[in-house]
Amino acid sequence: MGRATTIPFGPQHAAFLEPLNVKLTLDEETVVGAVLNQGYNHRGMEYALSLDYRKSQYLVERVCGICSFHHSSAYCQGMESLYGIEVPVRAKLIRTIMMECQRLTSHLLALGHIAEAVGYENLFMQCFREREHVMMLVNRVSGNRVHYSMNVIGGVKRDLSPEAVKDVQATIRDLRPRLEELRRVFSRDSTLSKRTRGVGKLSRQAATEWGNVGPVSRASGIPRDIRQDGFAAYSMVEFKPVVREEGDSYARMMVRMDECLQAADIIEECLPLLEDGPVAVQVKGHPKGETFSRVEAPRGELFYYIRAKGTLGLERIKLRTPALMNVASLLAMLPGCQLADVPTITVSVDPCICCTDR
Amino acid sequence: MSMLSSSLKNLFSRPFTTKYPYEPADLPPGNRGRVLWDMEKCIFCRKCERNCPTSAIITNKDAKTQTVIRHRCIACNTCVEVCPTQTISMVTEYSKPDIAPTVHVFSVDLPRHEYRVEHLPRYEGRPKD
Amino acid sequence: MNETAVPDFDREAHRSVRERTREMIEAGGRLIAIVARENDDGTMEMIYAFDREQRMEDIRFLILPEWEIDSVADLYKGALTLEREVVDLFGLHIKGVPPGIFLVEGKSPVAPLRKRKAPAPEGDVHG
Repeated sequence: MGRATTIPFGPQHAAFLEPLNVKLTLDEETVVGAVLNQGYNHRGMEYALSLDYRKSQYLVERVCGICSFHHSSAYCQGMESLYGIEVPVRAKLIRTIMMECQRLTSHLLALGHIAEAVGYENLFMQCFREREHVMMLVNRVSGNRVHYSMNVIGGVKRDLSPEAVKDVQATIRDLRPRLEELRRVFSRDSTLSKRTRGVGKLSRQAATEWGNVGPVSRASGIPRDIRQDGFAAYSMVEFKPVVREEGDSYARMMVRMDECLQAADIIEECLPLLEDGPVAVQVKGHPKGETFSRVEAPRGELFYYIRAKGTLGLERIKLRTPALMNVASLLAMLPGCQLADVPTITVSVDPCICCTDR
Repeated sequence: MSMLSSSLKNLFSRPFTTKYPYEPADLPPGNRGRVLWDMEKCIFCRKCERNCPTSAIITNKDAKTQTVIRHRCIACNTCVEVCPTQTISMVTEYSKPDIAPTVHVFSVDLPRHEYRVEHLPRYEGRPKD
Repeated sequence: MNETAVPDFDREAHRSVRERTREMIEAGGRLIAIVARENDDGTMEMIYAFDREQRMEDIRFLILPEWEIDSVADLYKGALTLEREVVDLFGLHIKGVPPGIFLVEGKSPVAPLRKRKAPAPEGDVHG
């Protein structure tokens, strides 16, 4: 047994897109202890969001760039339940379609990021090329690539024109063989599987204890997907959560890959359900009361607690982002692994530090 | 194996990316680029100023100008929606990059949809810390 | 905070948080979030939100901000992050939970989400 060494991993590290610091204690090359140090991106979002609920619907999109539509959907959904209104079916379907488009962009980014972390630059670029098709699609549909600004309290601002519906259909049809091609590479490539299989194991028991959500928990065999609760239009479509049992980085990667294909399925299922009708209802007055709102963001369950007091300001708005729980569970995955596997493991939980720190 | 074949295919095909500053960006119609005022129609009701989520708009009723602080504008389309006289429109092109924060000043003495570009002091006049 | 009007609430409720959390976890619940909220009378409301068989359930109780409450982090490891967040942003005291997940002691504002009757003290406070 050699002398234990402590090395800082991050906040600026080639494997991380965002600042996160993991203090690793090493015995030779093996990680024996890890301490997480976060908060580099803390922006006081919860305070800023409580200032003006009408302007907050744009600010919630800025909490995180890769799940912006999920954030605003969760917020608008919560506000709608405070107002006690039912959103038109067409608006719900449009929300579902856009949420799944964003899941595609987010998962393809995460997959590319994993490929990059294991040193597979070529696959990283392939992922980002397919992602670009979806990014351009949402740009054509919503008017912006990242912050769609489509959600308003009571529905959506922009309707899907018949041409846009055809556009979505054509893009997804083109994308599907490319995604299947990517899936074949991700599942069969020997380099990738050597770097990811059996790395960063998280047992089902540990995933329950650490409160993991989203693809991380589903890769450990917990069949829980908030979409089953049927928020937005998910009650109108048929799907089964993607679950794998291995609990390693490979399983987390493959769950995301399969969810990409599932997202394409859900979009195609939603499109024929679109019927003409209003896309938004007007709301009057200020909201009052208290509500919980949850949506399944690409990284897992996104939770909003909103308490309004009948004024422009909100009494309290609390966000529990999925990455907060998933990043914390790194402490369960890291001990016992090799130093060279640390980037793979941290990236495989898809850490979104913007979300984590808010 | 499939990765090798696609790598070879990529090697001999045109790049997927474009040389953006030298070629025009691929902006679809309906892209939210920047806002423009048609000052002939503006009635200075201050609705856009009040409703702007980022406080990017400054309405000056006396000087008859509308000023938009460029880097604050998030192109959310709210001002276009609330305008009672359809004065504001959203165009697809983004504004030109600059080395200092800029404001676009729309004034009644300028032609329609044209604006004056003014520079803000660095840090928007806030003291450097 | 109004010192003369002592708010009337169940002062023992916070002592049972561990038992109630354990019951909830044994029944298959998953802790989603710990929400703290300040009332106008100076009491804090703590909400432990659980997901149990696809439904939301919660444990609520009122405390005074000076009190120290029990931690549930040993029952449920993921709760530590949530508790540290509450400690940081509201300046509450939870047994064995250190502050400093998001804020830096001495540099950040203290308990930024608490309501303040008096304006914040002057001086350069860098976020």
